[in-house]
Amino acid sequence: MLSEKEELYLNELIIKCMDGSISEKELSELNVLVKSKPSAAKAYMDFIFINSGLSQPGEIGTYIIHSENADQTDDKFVSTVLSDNFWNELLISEQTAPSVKIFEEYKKRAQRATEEKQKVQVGPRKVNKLTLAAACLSLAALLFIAVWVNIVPESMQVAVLIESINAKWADPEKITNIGDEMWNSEGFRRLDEGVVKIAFNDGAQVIIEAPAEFELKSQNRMFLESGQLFANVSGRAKGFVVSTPNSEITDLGTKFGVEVGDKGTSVHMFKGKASLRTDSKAHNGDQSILTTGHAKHVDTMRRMKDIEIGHSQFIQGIDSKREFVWKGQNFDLADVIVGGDGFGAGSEDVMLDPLGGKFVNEKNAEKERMNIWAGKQYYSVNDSNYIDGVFVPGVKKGAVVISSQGHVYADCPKTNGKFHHYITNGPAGWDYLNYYDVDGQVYDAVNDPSIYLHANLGITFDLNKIRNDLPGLSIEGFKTLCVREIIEKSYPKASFVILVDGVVKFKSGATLPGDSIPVDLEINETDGFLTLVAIDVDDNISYDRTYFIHPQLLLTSVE
Amino acid sequence: MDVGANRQENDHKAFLSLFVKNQKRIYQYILALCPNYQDADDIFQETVGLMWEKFNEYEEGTNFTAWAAQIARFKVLNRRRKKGAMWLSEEAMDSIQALTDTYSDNYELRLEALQKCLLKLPEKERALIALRYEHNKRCTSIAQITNRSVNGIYNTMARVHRSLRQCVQRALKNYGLA
Repeated sequence: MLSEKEELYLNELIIKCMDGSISEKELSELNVLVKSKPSAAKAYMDFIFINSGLSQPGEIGTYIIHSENADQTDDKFVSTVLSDNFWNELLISEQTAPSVKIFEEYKKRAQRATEEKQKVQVGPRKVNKLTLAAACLSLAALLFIAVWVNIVPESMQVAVLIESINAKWADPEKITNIGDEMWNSEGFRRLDEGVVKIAFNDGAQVIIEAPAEFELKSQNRMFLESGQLFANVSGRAKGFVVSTPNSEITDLGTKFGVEVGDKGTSVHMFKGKASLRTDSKAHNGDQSILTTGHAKHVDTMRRMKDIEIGHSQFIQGIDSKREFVWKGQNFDLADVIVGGDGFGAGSEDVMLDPLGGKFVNEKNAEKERMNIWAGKQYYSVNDSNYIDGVFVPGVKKGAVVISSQGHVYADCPKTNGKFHHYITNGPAGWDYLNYYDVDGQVYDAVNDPSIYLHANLGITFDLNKIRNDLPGLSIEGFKTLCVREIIEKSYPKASFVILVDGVVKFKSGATLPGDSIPVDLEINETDGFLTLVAIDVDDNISYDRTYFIHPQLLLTSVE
Repeated sequence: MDVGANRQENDHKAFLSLFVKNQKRIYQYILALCPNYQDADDIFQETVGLMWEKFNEYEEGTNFTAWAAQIARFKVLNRRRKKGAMWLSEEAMDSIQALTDTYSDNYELRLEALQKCLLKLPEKERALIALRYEHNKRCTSIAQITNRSVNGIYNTMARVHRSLRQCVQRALKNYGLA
């Protein structure tokens, strides 16, 4: 049996865990209690039952459909489910269904209690709720009113500013710095320069870009007069509302961007669902449910129309310490191999030398790299923070070292140990055409960056170093199109291999010029090294031109 | 209406009906393995999506909650693997998993008992429970609304839950279930 003290402590630990405010030490204590004492495990389950029993079922209409293939599923749902009013049915059932039975009795009593209080008021029948609040002195009465009449106190702290880069506020009295509390009584604010991130007390986080004018209304509501914001509303913060001069957006557990300009309001749905109403006054105007990947514009006449989603229009992540902002782009590994930061800072003149692992400038390259035997060495690339190293695979059949941490490609096929070119972003050099033609579709080096590996070559990227420089973001996957450039001379065979921490995640088999294979891999947060390899198959490396086109790490913001 | 559309509508209705009836049990299962509202809510969303996607694999007449629990468990483990730290340990999860079936049985009776017990709570404590569960407030928000310290709210919440638990236990004993 649990003692009273133990049970109270267990309850406190569970509550903290539920709220996401438990410390590591407390979590470990919770684990020990539940694991070692059957009575604690039972008390834990009793607590969980009370939680599930008291939680509102009404939120079913707000649940978003996601799956491992989120995009496909969303599309599927839009076409098969939304069209048949599935979600509408859920939403209607949410709006019309009675409250959870458990609270019903309580509500009736509360209603009766409130009516009793109203009866004793002197004056007109229409009771001023604030006066009533002041008249009810007991804590219980105040709680009743806060709970059932939904009065928001006149002045309360509703949010905290958590990130700020080069922010310049119009009103000197409303200058807000990181860590400062923000109150609903402060009225309109104008941000003239910079970008800030605000955490509402109810959990929503909003990034606002200058120039913008806005007002924080409550712990889960704000008004955007002009400018643009990105809202990340997860878990229990659902129901966060952004109103604008001509629209009202009610979040249903999502990530979305809002832009308010002279021509109206645009809402861009990056993940999940939200309700968009063309009038901020309740029950007026048209309403639409926005789903992942869709965007709508409401003009000044309150007419709603579909628009293209602005994938990189909004700042979706910021980090003040590093002055880092992220606008939803993926991380481009083709930029990294020419000395870039993954977001386009690389130089088109730079190439990576597989022999020694150094960057060289194309114009000043002293030596050609044709039919070179590189030996069995793994070359660390010290010139780039994100490239761990380069190597020539398969001099002998068997294990090849593919990272500085000793990861190996265990079953690497035997090759002649030679390669034929620098590693470049797109085709480069004197005798190459500046495009690659795949099944009638032409890719070019400027618009379609790629990693060009002429077999036999391999390159390994350090995912943890990349993560370190992307605060607030996580790497969810890797995507590329493996392409063999079309040539007219012969049919040289080569294969593509992709490994994560030495484990083969993709292997193409023998490919010929003109072949193209899309690859889409999941990357977990514990994965450390991503390796791309091009291998000769027919013991002749001539024209074994392999490209990883648009090699991107897929990023997402974390809460 | 063509045959396909008719069938789809019937599927909607069947799914909705089963889902609405069992959603609390499913949520209870997820919450038990993942006692964090934010994660549990996300997992619940994902589970509902996958359930609907795989609804054609559900055999009519079999235990819907058990079927849903299999999907939910997959989603829980998937998220645990992705997020790593700050989760219940595997051993703790195993201890809890062993109890989940028992808590799914007689759920309605338990709920009835809980409803009666809620009405027995002092008014002030019921208001706190309503803030917590009907208005989805975290303890930090409740502390603000009631102008009390967060630790004070944790203590009170722990006590109120203990009272509710004891009351439900007594009621179940009367039903011959405990």
